[in-house]
Amino acid sequence: MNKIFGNKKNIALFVLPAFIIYFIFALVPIAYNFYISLFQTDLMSPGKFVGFQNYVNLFKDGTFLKALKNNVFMVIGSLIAHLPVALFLGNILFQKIKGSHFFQTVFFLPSVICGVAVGMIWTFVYNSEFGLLNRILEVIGLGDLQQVWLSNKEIALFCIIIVVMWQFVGYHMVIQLAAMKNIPDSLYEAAKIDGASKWVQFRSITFPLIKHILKIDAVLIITGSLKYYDLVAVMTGGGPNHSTELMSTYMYYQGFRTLKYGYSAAIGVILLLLCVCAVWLSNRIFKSEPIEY
Amino acid sequence: MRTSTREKTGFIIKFIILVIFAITCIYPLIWLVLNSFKTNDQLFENPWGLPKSFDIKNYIVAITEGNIGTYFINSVIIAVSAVLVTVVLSSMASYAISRMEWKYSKVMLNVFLLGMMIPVYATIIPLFSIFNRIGILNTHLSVIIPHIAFGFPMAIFILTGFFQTIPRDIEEAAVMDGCSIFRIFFRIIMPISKPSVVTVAVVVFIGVWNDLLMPQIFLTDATKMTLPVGLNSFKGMYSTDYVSMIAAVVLTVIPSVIIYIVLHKNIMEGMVAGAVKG
Amino acid sequence: MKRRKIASILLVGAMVGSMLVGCGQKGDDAKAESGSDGKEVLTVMCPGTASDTYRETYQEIADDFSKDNEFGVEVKYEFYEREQFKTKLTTLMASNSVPDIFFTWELDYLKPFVDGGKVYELTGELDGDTEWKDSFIEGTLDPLTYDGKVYAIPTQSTLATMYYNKQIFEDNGVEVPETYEEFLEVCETLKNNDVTPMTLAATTAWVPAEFVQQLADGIGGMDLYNGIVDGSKKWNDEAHIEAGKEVQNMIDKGYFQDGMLGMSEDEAKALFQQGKAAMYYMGAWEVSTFINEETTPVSSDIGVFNMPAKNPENDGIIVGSVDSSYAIAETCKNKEAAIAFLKYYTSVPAQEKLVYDQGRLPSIKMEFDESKLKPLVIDVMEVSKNAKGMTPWWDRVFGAGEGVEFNNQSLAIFGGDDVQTAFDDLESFAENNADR
Repeated sequence: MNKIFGNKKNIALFVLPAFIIYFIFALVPIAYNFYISLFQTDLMSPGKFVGFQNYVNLFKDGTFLKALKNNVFMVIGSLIAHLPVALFLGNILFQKIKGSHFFQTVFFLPSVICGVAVGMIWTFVYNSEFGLLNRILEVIGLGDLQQVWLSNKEIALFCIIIVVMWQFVGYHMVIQLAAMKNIPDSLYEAAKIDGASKWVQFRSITFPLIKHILKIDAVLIITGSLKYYDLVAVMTGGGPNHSTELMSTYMYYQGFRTLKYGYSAAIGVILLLLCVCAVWLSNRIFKSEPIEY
Repeated sequence: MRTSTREKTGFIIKFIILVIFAITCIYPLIWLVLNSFKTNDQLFENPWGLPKSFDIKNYIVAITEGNIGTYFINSVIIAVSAVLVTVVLSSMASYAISRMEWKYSKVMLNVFLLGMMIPVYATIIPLFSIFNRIGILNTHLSVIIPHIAFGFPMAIFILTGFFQTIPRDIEEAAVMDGCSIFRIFFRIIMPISKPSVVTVAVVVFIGVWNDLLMPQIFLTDATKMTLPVGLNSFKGMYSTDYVSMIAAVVLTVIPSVIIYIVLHKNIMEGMVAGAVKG
Repeated sequence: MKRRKIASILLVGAMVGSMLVGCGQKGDDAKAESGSDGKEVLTVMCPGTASDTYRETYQEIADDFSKDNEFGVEVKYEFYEREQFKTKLTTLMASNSVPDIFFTWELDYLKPFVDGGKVYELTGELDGDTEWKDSFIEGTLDPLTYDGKVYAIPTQSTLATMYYNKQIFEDNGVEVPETYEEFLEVCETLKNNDVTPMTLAATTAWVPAEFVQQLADGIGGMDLYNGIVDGSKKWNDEAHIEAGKEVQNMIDKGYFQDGMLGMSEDEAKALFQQGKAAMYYMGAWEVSTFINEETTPVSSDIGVFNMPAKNPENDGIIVGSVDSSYAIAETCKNKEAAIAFLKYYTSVPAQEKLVYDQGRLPSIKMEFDESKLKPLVIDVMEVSKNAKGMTPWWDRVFGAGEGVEFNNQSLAIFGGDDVQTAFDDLESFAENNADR
């Protein structure tokens, strides 16, 4: 056994191809990105070393701060939109309702459709002339609420969060449902004998036992919300007047429009740091509670 | 079994909620398909109803003028190559990490898992610069490679999890028979790991198929672009030809939906796997 | 043992390397494509969408050149939607794979590419062919000159103007306004008669910006423009604030179409083309669309007038500049042929085609056969002749940083933001932008 499974050559042959690609095209770029962020460069003429000046400027840049704020808003919005709603739906399906499998499949569907298509579908929904939303409002007698949804800077970001919710609620629901299914039936049977209501069962059995998954799910939601790009790029392009600008769209703009690649790389570094922080933070919270069934 | 009326109404309410939500998920797609057969005027007059006739004119515009066909082929080439390479290399690496005996296997696993935290956006500019230097910008490779590199963490995570559950006896028996490590891996391990491998393939495929940012930046030739980029530029080129745009969206969405219908079990499992097992 | 490990690393490295090299070559092969009949191809990259009728005329000019030139080259146009064009050009520039000839805006837009050594210098060519150099209208080469060197050739000149529907004006008993007050009265009358006075696309930020800039030109004149350019005036200058407030006044009074904030360029334009709005403020390039009766039902009713200045002394100061400039990439393999194409493009036959077929104002000094000019084009030329000064679009003067931010803030003003805050923000953006 050892001769084959401990053979260094075999191990190298198995691990190295993946590792080398991963190293060159994932790890090196991270370091290289940080290096670029210390320069003022358009990648054409030789760059100028500016140290941490790009970072200092970022925090003086109103638009970047707005993008950061929007990202935070997006995180909070997605957390509120996803966790309770997904949990609610998941809990209904958990009670072995008729067609449970069908509903799961349907709810999950939007999350496999590409963001550009989802963005375009929803620009049709939000369209002020033939859009579904305005037409529905008209039909149900709320015509006063009709809007040019995506061009109103007060609500454009909110409109996008709704789309994020539409796209991913099913995804998070399936994650939570999978966790619920891991809970042994015996616990519920015991509770039923004790005459516990559905709500009590949820509160005292289901919720505590899937809490750890909820935490992981929260991490997924947070890091996911920091990475959104497609939807905003397609639906508003960050506008009107930066009101839906996210770090990712602003990074793209500073890099590939204004040719400030160093500045743009600095945004990337901050994005990375935020993701790492989010994961680290949740790991800290997560560690404190081991799970037992 | 007796069920109280209260429970019954509760059940009905819940069922109604589910149905409403299911409609919200599906109706926009149905609306899209219906309107793809209308003319622009019909769309504005009557965005609700059925089309007067099933005229495929919009689809012809989307395919001939919008080049959706070319984009589709490009997307297939890129997604399939990325999936193949990721699946083969990540299974090999996972196998070595989980089944072979060496000191740094844990470290290696953690290094790979670290990648799950990295947002791809943070590497766009360096990758652009690197690809520029080695001269592969504007080739499919420039999109395939980063997708492979960033596909590894999740793939390895899922696969090591599965490989650990395979009983040792199988390999021991094979070694007795004098099988080489490659034979064991490709002839024995891979076949029994099919569900996990399919899951990984599906997850990677969806990621690549749906990505906008990388092809948008790395590919500049219209003949090399993928569906999301093509769709986005179609939107710019034909900004008032809504019905053709709708047809183009339908053409983009349909393959994903078909794959989903066929493989939804693997897809759900795969996309959820990371969270639940972690 | 160790050595073997290194060997396998090298092996894998070589595998990856050969993969890369293989594909790099594929890229080069693709570039050396040849034309329909084996001719060498020169590619021109240019913005243009499906609804832009000028695309055909451009290609016709290219075809005329391809038919008969001493270099035996064939010129092909590649059109991209405007935003996509910008992204594509920047990425291609960085990777040294720009097509032979590319469309460019003047001033700050081209500057980084010139600084990066990506653009072929044309000073020598112009000096070597003084006839060509002198054919351009005076001053049109200036916005394309950097450090005394010319890097691109203007192929058209343009300005922004107010298009109006003569029929609607007549039906409502209003006449072309001579003063700013009259202009407001015209809007008021139209509004009271349930006619939409103006249509404007407020989802594309440079469109509202162009209108704000025109109003500011009418208030602050050339002093304002020159002051901003040389830094002696600030963005939050009184004239800008006043212009912003005028805009909001017009919006409050309902002088723009309903749903303005959500409308794209094509949508807003369509209202005017179908006679659903009386006026449309846009660049003279739109004449190409408006003289086409198929796409523009009200084609024969369209006229233009110069937007009257709020300060009458600034009447005739218009947003305008050179347009559709062409530059040659440093990487272009056949520069002589590319120059020959630019010369052909700015020669009388090609410019005649542009002005007669598409209503594009030439960048060279030339005579016109008035009978071949569409009436609308004659009107535009009249406005152009009466111009006392031109201020290029801010996003061309200041490029993607400050220029685009001016657009964004103008959009914000159209959306109802406080004018003072908007321009204060722009000023502080401009001050910070310098050292990024």
